[in-house]
This record gives sequence, C-alpha cells and structure tokens, in this order.
Amino acid sequence: MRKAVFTYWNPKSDAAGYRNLDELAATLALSLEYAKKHFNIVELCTDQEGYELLVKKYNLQFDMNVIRLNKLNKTLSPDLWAMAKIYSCSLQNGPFVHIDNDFILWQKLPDTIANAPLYFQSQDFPHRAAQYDKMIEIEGKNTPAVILKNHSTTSWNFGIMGFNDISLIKEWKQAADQYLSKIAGDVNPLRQTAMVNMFMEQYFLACLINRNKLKVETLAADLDKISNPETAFTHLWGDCKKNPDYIERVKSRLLKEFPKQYNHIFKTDKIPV
Amino acid sequence: MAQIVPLGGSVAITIADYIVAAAIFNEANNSIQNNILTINKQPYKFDTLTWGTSSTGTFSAATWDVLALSGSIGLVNQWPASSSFQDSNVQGGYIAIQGYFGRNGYTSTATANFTDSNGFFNAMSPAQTTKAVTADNSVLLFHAKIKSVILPGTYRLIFTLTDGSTSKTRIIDVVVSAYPNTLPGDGWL
Repeated sequence: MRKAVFTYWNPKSDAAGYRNLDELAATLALSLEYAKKHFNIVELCTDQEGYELLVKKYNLQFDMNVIRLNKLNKTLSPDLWAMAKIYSCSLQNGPFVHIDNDFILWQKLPDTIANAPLYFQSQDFPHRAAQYDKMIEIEGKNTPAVILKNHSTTSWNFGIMGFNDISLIKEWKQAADQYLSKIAGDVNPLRQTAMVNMFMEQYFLACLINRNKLKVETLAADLDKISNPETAFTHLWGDCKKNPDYIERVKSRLLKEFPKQYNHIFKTDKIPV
Repeated sequence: MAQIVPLGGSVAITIADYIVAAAIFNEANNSIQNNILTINKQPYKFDTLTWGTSSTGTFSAATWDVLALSGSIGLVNQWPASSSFQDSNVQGGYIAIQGYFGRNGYTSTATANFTDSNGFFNAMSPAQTTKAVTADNSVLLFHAKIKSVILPGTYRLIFTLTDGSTSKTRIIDVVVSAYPNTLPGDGWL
C-alpha cells in the first residue's frame, strides 16, 4: 500500500507564495492528479478552512480528507508552516510520502528510491550549514539537547519526503514542540521566521537522521543538474511559484491532461488543443 | 533623482529615496524590473558581481544629493593582494557600495552604516564611517565585510549626507533570496 500525503494549512488565507489562490489550486491539482497515478491513497491533511477552499471550492478530489489541523489555529503562529507539515507527518502510522503543493512527481519512483527507509528531493544548498551554525549561535539555549548533540552539516530539500521508516517522526515533532515553547517567551531581533521554519523542518530531522546513522536516498543527485534531474519531478520552490512562464506551463499541462479540473478552477469551458 | 547608467547595458535603476537591489540567485541573465536588481549567481558560487556605474557626474551648487551609486558583492579573498581590504584568511563575503555625492562649493559630511539581517556583519572599511566631502564630485567608498558566505537575508547600507543643518538619507538594500529562480525539474514541466 503506497500512500501520499499533502498538507494545507494557511490560516492567513493568503496566496501562500503564489500570485493568487487559483494558481495555487492549479499547481496542487496537477500534483494531486499525478500522485493518484503513483500511489494507492492520496490524503489531504488540513483544517476546516483548507477543506472548504480546496475540496469544496476548487473540487480537488483527494482519496481522503483529514481535517486535523484546526487545533493549530489556536496555538501556532500562522507563519510557522513547517510545524503544520511536521504535525501532519506525525499523524501517519505507516509508510508514506509527503508531497508539497508545489512539487509534481511525473513518474513512479524507481524501486531503489521507493523502497529506501528515507528519501528526499535532494541535498540542499551547502550554505545551509552556515545558516544552521548561525541558528545554533542564536538559538542554542532554546534548542533541544538531542539536536545539539547530533549536529549535522548535511540537510535535504523536502519538496518530497519519503518515510518507509517512520521511527524518527514522533521525536522530530517533540523536538519542534519543545523548541517552539522555548522561543515563545524569548524575544530575539535576529530571529527570522523563515529560518525558524527551516531550522525545525530541515535541521532537526537531519540531526536525528545523523544520530541514527540512517541512509537517505535522493531523487536528484546533483544540485547543479537540478533543472533536468534523472528522476522525473518539478518543484516550483521559492519565487518560481510567482513566475508567469512556469505557471503558464503548469496551467497548460492541467488543461491538456485534466481539463475538467482546469475548467473548475478557472471557471471556464476550454477544450484542450 | 539620479540615474545609474548600466554596466554593459544590462543594469539600470533609478535612485529614489529608497532603493531596493535584490540579489536573487538565478542562472539566467541579470535584470532589473521595478527597481529590483536580479543577480545571476547561486550563493555558494558567488563570484564578484557588480552593478552601477564607475563614471562620475557633475554636481552644481543646486544639486545636493547622491548622484550615483554602484557596488559589488563577492568574496573577500578575491580582492587584489594590494588592497587593504584583502584578507586571504577570510572565506567570507563583502558588499561594497560606492557613492558619488556632495554639493559643488560646499563641505558636506557623509556617514555610512551597515546592517545585516543574519547578524554576520563584522567589519567596515574604512573603519571610519564618516567622511567629509571637500572637493567637487567626491567619491566615497565604503565596504562592508562579512565573515561568512553571503546568505539569504537583507544587507542594508544607509548613507546619511549632512550639509549644514540639513541632512538626507539614502538606503540601499541588497536582498538575497533564499532560493534561486532556477526551476528544479524545468525540463520535465
């Protein structure tokens, strides 16, 4: 049984890095429809608002809609998207793949990757190590001991995260919870929300992987060749989501291959050419 | 308002009260749109990147402002050995900003302050960050040095020009984004 999970938690109701919500929905629709080709079950983990938007308004048809993120709305700063992702992963009780809404997996994963205990998109930029060193300098007193003891100089990009081994996830969430509770009353002008998210998401998990000496597979071996990786995926990271050319190509693919979804999102009646 | 003339025809921005220059890691060509300067390098591959012009303009008695600004971003150990700013032991970055400002026939004072949102900033060259402008068309050069790779964040240089009892402030932000504009899997989309 192969399962894919998407997380949507956007209490600010903004465009979540895209130019608008229609374009977010189009990208997610394409990602979802391709995930349904490769996985037996595709789940959406969201809050009530996300369910109303993605399922009711945009008619995105996941196999399962799990509305479990409402509790975060009361306890978590709306900018801490990484925690929603970690929380969503912690709800899983068997092997799964987490796919970001800006990540499209075009082909089935090769067995060498799909059967690995852990697999991620790629290693992340080498400069992350300097950023996490700085975070330790700023946040050392707030960082759980298990993270500090197992410092990792490697980190991965988590556009896609495959967990056949889920043993670290509960501890990952626990470390993130502990860190957030420490910084709640500790004002620091050098603290940047973007780095807090990446620190919890990338660095904490990397340290736990380091401690357990787990082997990690990646879909793309080399960041220099990431425009055309050997495994078939596209990741509209960062401002790529706002790039009109990239988004037009996403929309064209959606119209061509899944016209019903395209027409529902954009309220049109187009026929693919 | 003053105009920075493009180097090699690819960069042109207009100086307003507030300038935003964004160094976005992008394998495509440098470009400017809406006062955003896009520089085409990935963070761990920074070579020296330069924007602006090296030519001076002419100040008149009525002109009292920043006339032109230029700058570069790169690695400290790439500076010529003869430069006092060179430091072969530092695997870090620098941001240099050069300003042409003053008022013909008047003595002005320029002060430069640098901030780095990552908190890495550790040196400014010259260490003295206030200079008197006594000649026409003066060129003041300030370098900010950071003992780290240039990381995503905001690097801000604030020039304050004082002439008698009046002062003007000009701000340059070099905003380094977290991700390149390169699309992973571009070939598959």
